[in-house]
Amino acid sequence: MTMPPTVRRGEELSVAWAEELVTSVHEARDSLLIEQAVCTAASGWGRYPGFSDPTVTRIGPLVFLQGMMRNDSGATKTIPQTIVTVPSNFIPRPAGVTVPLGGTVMFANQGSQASTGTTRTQINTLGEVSVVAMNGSSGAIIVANGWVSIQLVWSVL
Amino acid sequence: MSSYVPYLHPMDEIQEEWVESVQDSLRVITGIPFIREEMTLVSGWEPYGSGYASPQVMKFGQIVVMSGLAKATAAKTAPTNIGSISSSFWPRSGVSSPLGGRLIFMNLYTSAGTYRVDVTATGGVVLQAGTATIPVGGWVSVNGMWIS
Repeated sequence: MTMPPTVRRGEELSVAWAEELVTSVHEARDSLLIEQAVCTAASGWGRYPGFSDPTVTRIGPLVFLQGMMRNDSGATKTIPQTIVTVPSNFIPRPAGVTVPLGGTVMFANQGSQASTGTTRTQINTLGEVSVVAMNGSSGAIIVANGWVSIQLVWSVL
Repeated sequence: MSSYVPYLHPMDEIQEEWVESVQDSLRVITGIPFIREEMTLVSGWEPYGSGYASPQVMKFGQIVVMSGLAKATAAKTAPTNIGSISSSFWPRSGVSSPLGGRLIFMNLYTSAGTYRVDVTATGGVVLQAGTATIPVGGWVSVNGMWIS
């Protein structure tokens, strides 16, 4: 990353110096919040009205997903279920030589069955955000108009 | 940011102090480090594998994210240590971090429900409370997020 240009006291400011400064400002912006996007909902899933869209925000290398999704299919859905897919530039990378600590990341969330339960939510290295279990069961049912929260954090590096 | 960039009035002449404050601010922003380390697991735990991220901590600026999945290689019952993280990531408490200290996170375990995982002020990661014994081959997630 380019460091901001230095200038000494008494030195006249040049156009080239100003251009370098602008470049540094742009890079500084890029190193912080540069990207935010709404994820693509899987078939039969939609945003729960009044709650957050399934949104990914990248701050530096960290990605924060927040959202609340509803089973809009009109029928029950059986877990495991892919709920949304994140855009390609937000996907965690698999473990490898350059990213030894990469891989699928799992978080606890909430969902509604007959009553509210704890869900196992994960994002894999294809960018698929899935609910893979509720209260430990992979065969649980999410009824029509039932909901799942999807809040996860991971790194793109 | 540790320094403040004063606004310029359109009629102001650019002062050296202003230029220096802009430069200082940019140095702070462009210098925000990102570090990432594997958690040191105690005996009886290992990374789960199978495509899941290893237990780890990452830090961007002062934001710390802990994540990963640990597998028990011996039966585990709370309270028991899972591992430790290095001092750069500790949720410190003290004069410089008066709001730091031990933290509690809700996490998942093999069969059903949740487990309490604590991160101590000196970087210990502890399976603190939960009703079930985690069997050999069972797993627990180690997620949390804090400011260090």
